[in-house]
Amino acid sequence: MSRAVHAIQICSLSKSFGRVPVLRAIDLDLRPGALSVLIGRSGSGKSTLLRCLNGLETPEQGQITAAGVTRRFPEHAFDKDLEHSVRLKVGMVFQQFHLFGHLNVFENLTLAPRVGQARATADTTRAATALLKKLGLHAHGGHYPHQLSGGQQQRAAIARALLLSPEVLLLDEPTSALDPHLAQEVLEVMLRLKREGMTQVLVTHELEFARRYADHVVFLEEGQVIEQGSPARIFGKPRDPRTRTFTRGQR
Amino acid sequence: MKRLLLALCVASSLSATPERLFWAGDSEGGAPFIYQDPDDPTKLVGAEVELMALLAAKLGYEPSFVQNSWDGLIPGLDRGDYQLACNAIEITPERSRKVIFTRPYLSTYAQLAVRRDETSITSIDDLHGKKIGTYKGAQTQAMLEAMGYKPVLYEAIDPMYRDLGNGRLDAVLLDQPIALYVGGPLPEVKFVGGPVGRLQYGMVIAKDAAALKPELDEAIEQLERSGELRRLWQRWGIWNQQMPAGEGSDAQPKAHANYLKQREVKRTWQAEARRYLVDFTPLLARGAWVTLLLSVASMLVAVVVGLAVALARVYGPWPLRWLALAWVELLRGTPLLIQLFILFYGLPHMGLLLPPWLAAVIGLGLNYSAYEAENYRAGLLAVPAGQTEAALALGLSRWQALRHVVLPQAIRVILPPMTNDFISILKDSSLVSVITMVELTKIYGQLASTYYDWLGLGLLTAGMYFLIGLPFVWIARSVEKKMRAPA
Repeated sequence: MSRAVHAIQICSLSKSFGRVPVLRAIDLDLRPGALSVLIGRSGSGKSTLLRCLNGLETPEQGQITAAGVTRRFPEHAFDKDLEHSVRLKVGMVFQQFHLFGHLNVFENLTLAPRVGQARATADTTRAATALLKKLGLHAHGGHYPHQLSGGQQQRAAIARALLLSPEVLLLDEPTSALDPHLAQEVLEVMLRLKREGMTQVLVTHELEFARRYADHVVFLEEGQVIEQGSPARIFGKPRDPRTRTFTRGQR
Repeated sequence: MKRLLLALCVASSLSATPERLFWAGDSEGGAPFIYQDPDDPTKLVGAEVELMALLAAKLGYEPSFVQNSWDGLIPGLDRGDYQLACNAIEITPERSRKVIFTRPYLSTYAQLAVRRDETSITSIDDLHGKKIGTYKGAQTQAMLEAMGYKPVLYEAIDPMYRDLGNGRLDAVLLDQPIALYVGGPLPEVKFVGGPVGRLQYGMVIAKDAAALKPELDEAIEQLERSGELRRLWQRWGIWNQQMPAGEGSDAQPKAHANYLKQREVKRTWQAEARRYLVDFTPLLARGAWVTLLLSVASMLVAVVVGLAVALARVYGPWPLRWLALAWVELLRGTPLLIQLFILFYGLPHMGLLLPPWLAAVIGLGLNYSAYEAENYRAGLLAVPAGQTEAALALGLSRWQALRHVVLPQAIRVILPPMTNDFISILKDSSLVSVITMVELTKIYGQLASTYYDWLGLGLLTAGMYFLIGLPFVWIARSVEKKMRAPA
C-alpha cells in the first residue's frame, strides 16, 4: 500500500458524553512515519480523540481517515466491518497495559492472530518470537503478566499491538503508571519504532519527552486543537496564551 | 399427547397382550394398602394391590402401578399418566364434585390412638389442648377440624406413631386399617374410644378414562356379591360390618398375621448387615443413580440458560436486561416446589404435557439458572473493562472478546459458587418425588417406613448423597487449581 500524504486525517470531529461536549469540531492531519504527541490537561479530550481513532469511542459527527480507512459519522457509527478493518491497521496501547491476565506473554501476543483473523500458526509463532526478542522480552514469553514489572508489561502490550503489523500505533499515556526508570524502557521502545518509521500517536504528560523527540505536537484544551506544530514552536514560541500557560506550568 | 396415549392403548389392545391399566398410589409406608414387601423390597404388596389384581383380572386388563405422592394422586389424573388412583382416597362431597369416583370398595372408620400410659384421653371428645397428629389432606383432618381441633399434619404415617410414643404428640387419629397396621404393633401405643365417623374409599377415575366407570362399578359390585371382597378384607384383618357380606364362607386374617410376623423377625447382626448390603444398598444405589442423572442434567440446563441470562443482563439492550432481571427475581423468588407443581400439574391444562423426568430437569434447571446467572454476572463484572477494550482494540469481535478474554478470567470467580450450587441441586432434587420421580430420598422414605429404620438407612442415604457430590467437588477443585496462574 502506498503511503498517503496523511496517516490520519480528522475533519470536524465532535463527541460528547451525555450533555458534556468532549471534542468540538476537531480538524487534524498527522503525517505518516511521524511521532505525533497530543498534550493538554486532564479532561481536554486528548484520550477520547485517540480512542475515536480506533473505534473504542464512537464520535457523533465528523470524518476520520486512519491508515487508509475512511469513516463518516454518524453514518458509519454501527459499521462493524469498517471498525474491524480500522482496528487491524491501527494498534492501541493503554495506560494500564491491559494484558490478558489468564494468558502468558506469548499467548497474549498470539491470541488475536489465532482467533481474530486467519493466519498460519507457524508464521505467527515466528513473528511473535522475533518481536519479543526485539523488545527484550525473549526470556519472558512463558511468564504471566503479574510476574512481570510494569515496564515489561507495557513492552509486552506494545509487542502485542505490533504483531498485527499496524500502520499506526496509538499510545494512551503508556508511561503514566510506571516509575521513571521503568518509563524509560517504554520511551526507548517508542524511539526505536520512530527510527523504523512507524507512525505513532502518543497521548502523554511527559512534556520533556515530547519536546525532545516528537515530530509534531498538538495542544488540546476543552475539546479543541488550540495550537500545533514542531516541538520547538510549541514549547519555544507558543502563539496562544493558553499554550504558553500550559507548557510553562507543567515544567 | 392424550390422543397418542389412547392410540397406544388401542394399538396394544389389538395385539394379543391385555390392555394395561395404569393405576397410582403412594407406597411409602402404605401398609396395609400398598407397601413394599419386607422380604423383597422390590415387590409391592398390600390389600389394594390385591384388589387391583382381582379387578383387572375380572376386566381383562394388566395392572401397572405408578408411584406418586398421595397429595398428587388426584392432580396426576389430569396428566394422563395413569387412568386410576386407588390408595385410601375417601369419597367426600367436596371431592365428588370435582372428580369421578367408583362405588366404594371399602367402608371403614377412624381410630384414635394414644400413648400406652395415657389416662386422660378415652375418646375423641377429650382432645382439647392436646397435640393431635393426622395425615395432611385426609378426611381425618377435616373431621378433627370440624370438631374444633387443630391437628398437626404429617405426610408420613410411621413417624406419626413414633412421635406419639416419644411424647411429641398426645393422640393420633387415622383410618382404622392404617392405625391397626402401623400403630397397632407398637408397644407404646394403645387404641382408645370406639369407631370415629365413617370413611368410604373409592377409586378416582381420570376424566379421559370416564368410560371405565360402569365396568369398574359393576366389577366391584360383583366382588361384593360373591363375597370375594369381604374375604380379601378379612384376610387383611380389616373387615367390618359396614360392608355387605356377600356370599360364601369367611377367610382367616392370614395376611395380617403374616405382616405382624414379618415385623417381629429379629435378625442377628450378620443378617442385618447382609440385608443392608444385599437388599438396601442396591435399591438406594438405583435411587442415587436417578438423583445423579437428574442433577447433572439439571445443572447443565442451569449453566447454559444461566449464561444466556447473565449475558442479557450485563450486555443486552434495556428490554433484554429487564427480562433477564425479571427471570432471575421470579425464579429465585418463588419456591421450587411450586414451580415443579406448575410445570407438572399446571401446564397440562394448557395442553403441554411434560414427562416427569423432563418436568424435573426443566424445573430444577430453570430454577437454578437464576442462581447461575447471578454467579456469571459476578464473574463478568469482576473482569476489568480494560480487558474487553484491549481485546476489541486487537480486532476481536465482542463475542470473541467474551469467549477468549472475559469468560476464562470470570470462571475463576464463577466456579466456587457454581460447585456449591451443584451440591445444592443434588439435595434439592429430592423435591421431585412430588412429581412421581422415584429418587434417592424417596427410596429412603419407602425403605425406612417398610423396615421402621430411619436411623441406619438415613445414615446410608446421607452417605450416598455425600459420595455422589464428592467427585464433583474434586473436579472443581483441580480445575480451580489449574486456572490459577502460577505464582
